[in-house]
Amino acid sequence: MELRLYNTSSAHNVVRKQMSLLATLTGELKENCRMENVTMNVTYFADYYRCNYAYIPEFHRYYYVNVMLIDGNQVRLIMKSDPLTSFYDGYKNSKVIARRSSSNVNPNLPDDRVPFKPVPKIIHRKCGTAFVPSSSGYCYVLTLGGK
Amino acid sequence: MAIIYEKEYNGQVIKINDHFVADPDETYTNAARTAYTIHAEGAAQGTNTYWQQPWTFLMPDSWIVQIEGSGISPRGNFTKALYFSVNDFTEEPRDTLLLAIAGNNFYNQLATQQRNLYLPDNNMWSAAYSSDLQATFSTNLPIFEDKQTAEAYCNETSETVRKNMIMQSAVNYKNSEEEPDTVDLEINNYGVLQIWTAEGQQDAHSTTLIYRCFKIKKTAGEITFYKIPGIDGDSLKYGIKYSNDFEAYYIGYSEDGGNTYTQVDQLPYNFIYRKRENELGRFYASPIDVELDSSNTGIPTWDSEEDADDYLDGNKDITEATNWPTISKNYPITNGTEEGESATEFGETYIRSVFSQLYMLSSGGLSEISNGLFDVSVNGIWEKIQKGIEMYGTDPMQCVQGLTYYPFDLSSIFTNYADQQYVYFGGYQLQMQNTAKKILFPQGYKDLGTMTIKRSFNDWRDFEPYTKLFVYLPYVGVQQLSLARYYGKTVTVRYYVDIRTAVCMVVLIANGIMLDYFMGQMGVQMPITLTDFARYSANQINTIMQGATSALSAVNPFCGSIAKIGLASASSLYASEQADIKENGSWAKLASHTHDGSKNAIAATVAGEVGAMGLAGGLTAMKTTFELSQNGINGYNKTKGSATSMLNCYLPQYITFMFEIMESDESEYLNELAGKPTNMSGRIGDFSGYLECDDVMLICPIATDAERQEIINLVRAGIYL
Repeated sequence: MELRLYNTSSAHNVVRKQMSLLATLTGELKENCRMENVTMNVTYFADYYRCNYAYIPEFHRYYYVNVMLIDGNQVRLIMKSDPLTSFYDGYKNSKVIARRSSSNVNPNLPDDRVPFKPVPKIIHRKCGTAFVPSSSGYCYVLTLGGK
Repeated sequence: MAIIYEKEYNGQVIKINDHFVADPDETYTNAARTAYTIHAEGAAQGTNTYWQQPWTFLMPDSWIVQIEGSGISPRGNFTKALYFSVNDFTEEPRDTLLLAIAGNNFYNQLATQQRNLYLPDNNMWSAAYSSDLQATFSTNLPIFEDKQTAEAYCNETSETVRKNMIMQSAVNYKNSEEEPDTVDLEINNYGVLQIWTAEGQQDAHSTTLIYRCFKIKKTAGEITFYKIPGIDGDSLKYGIKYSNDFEAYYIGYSEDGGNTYTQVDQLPYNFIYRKRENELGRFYASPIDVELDSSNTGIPTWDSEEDADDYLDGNKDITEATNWPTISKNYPITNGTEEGESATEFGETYIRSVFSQLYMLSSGGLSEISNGLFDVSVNGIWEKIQKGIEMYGTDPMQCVQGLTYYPFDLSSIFTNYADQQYVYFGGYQLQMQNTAKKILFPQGYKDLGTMTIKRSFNDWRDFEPYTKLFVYLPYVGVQQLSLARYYGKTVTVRYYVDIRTAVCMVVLIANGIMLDYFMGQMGVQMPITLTDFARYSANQINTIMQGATSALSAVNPFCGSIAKIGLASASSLYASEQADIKENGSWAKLASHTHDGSKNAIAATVAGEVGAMGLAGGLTAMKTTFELSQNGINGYNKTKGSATSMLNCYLPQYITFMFEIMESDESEYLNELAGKPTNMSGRIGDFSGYLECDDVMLICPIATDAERQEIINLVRAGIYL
């Protein structure tokens, strides 16, 4: 069974992981296993200590890898599937209602992740003309009983 | 073609038909645009002349002018432009709006005709004239608002950049590469030609890109979709229908999946199609969304062609469309009434008190009234006492109802007034040198200014509690306004004044609709102090009587007794008849009343003589007493009303809008690492970067249940695409 071994620095929640190929080997399943949890023994390879990711074409899956050294020239790979990366083409058409996004933002929704400075900024904008108090204009009203 | 610009002057209209299409990046040379056309249609009358072929004028039934640039006989290189011009002609009809040509180095030999022409250059005139110019033009020349700009454009030959900048200010400018800012309809999900020979097996050649991507921006009429029957399963086929009056500013389709669009007069197809997944057959699969909800901006869809026809004929309302719940957000909220918003109709007051009058006064007029009422000179006071009955029983205070000061010229608000050189205290007319403006109807308002309220961030921070809007209103104070109600509106601030109570009401109005109103105290009420002349004059009478009696007693006790009798009668007479009190005449009159000559002529003679003898001393004493009592007149003053605060006058007199904005301290990496809020519905593949979801309908048949659940958990917690 073909096995491609990689090193990745990407986090688990990254779909398109950055990975560098370390070796392409063949290996045998250690025992009966489910496809999402696979254990294999492979021959020792030079960069085994950097290996943390793998792809098994036969299973159409990427795996997170834990490496165990065993006796002789064998290395045991304990692998757990990475469905997020493995099946992106399969689930990318799945419908979702998004809560946060980098690409499709609703600018009218408040963001509780944004902190504010403690002192607000005050902007004054004068409008139109002012009242002009004056004693020379017709500014007084005298109300008189009379005709 | 649509009218894109109109210029009206004195009832005459020039309409610009279609855009002058230009590329601002084009390098203009002197040879550029030497050929041009101007096409005009309009009502016209009169004869037509022309100077040079191939200018063509078809008059008068249909005014069509075709001008070829080559017909101008240019000499050398030149650039041309048009501009609006108003000329005052010496012949009728005068004062006409023209579309004139500016050019550099024209060969100007066109005939001159002083009519209201439409295409003159500095020294040349073309032919047709019209007394009722209603012309529609289309041209490939830029048209400018004024001659200066047109000439600047023509003369700017060395700097292409500068020339292009000027060109872009043309009223008919349009960049040829420009696409509409918004479109009414956009189907932008391109598809591929797919040939499915068996379920799950797609033919290897079925990769041809198809071009059912299009954009439409309509200017008139309607466009709609209807479902074409006979399509199985999840496949959909929608026909496109247009109303008879449909016109589009822009129709474009794409052959490269929406990267570039070609503008066309009409779409090369009349339906769109979406195939069902794994459907067998041959499909030009334009993957339209089932409800056309994300790719259009409000186009209704119908279950049948008949429904679509009914809609276009006006027999069906858009709210009956099958996708109305989806597209309704594109239509204005009708409040359930399906009626537009009504403009505020402000009330009017016809309240007019005929029993009291309102006088607008300057400080000079007010001082004049005050001085008049405090005039206690001998002549003045007697005059007023004489008029006492007319003047509320000699107490003017009885007819004074109030005095109020306002911080502006009231005659600018209360324009319905009468200028008078007097005011009435009751029935007493007090003459004035200054003018008193008697308010006939106390109705009016003052618009102090307008303010357009715009958003600062164009996002959620524009609203409370992150941004607050206050307005300081003189004589009202600071009031907080609801931002959602004010954004995008130009607000007029209007002051109403209740002239009787000195209360003001400020109304904030936008688009004729009242948004808010606030009450305040504007007028400064002032106390008024006047003399109670009733008491004062009564006191004066008593003083006079006592003084005269004392004087007569001092001369002769006998005569004094007679004088007392006479004075008593005189006093009674005064009270009952308001007799004029004159130094001699009154006493003579008094004598004639007291001693009837027919009964006792001697007594009358004696009394008259004795009275005359006592009068000299009595008057001397009376005068002294009166002068003394003058000093005590303040004891008869009365004050009405009290002062309200005038401190408002010291506060700012400008209306001031105040924005209180919380400044965000957003991380530079926030969007990249954690995204921003959204409520968008879509497919995972529609997003990029960070994505965090509330709800996931996961379709992933290959994954195991555990793996599907893991994907769901990760998508909910946040993933990076």
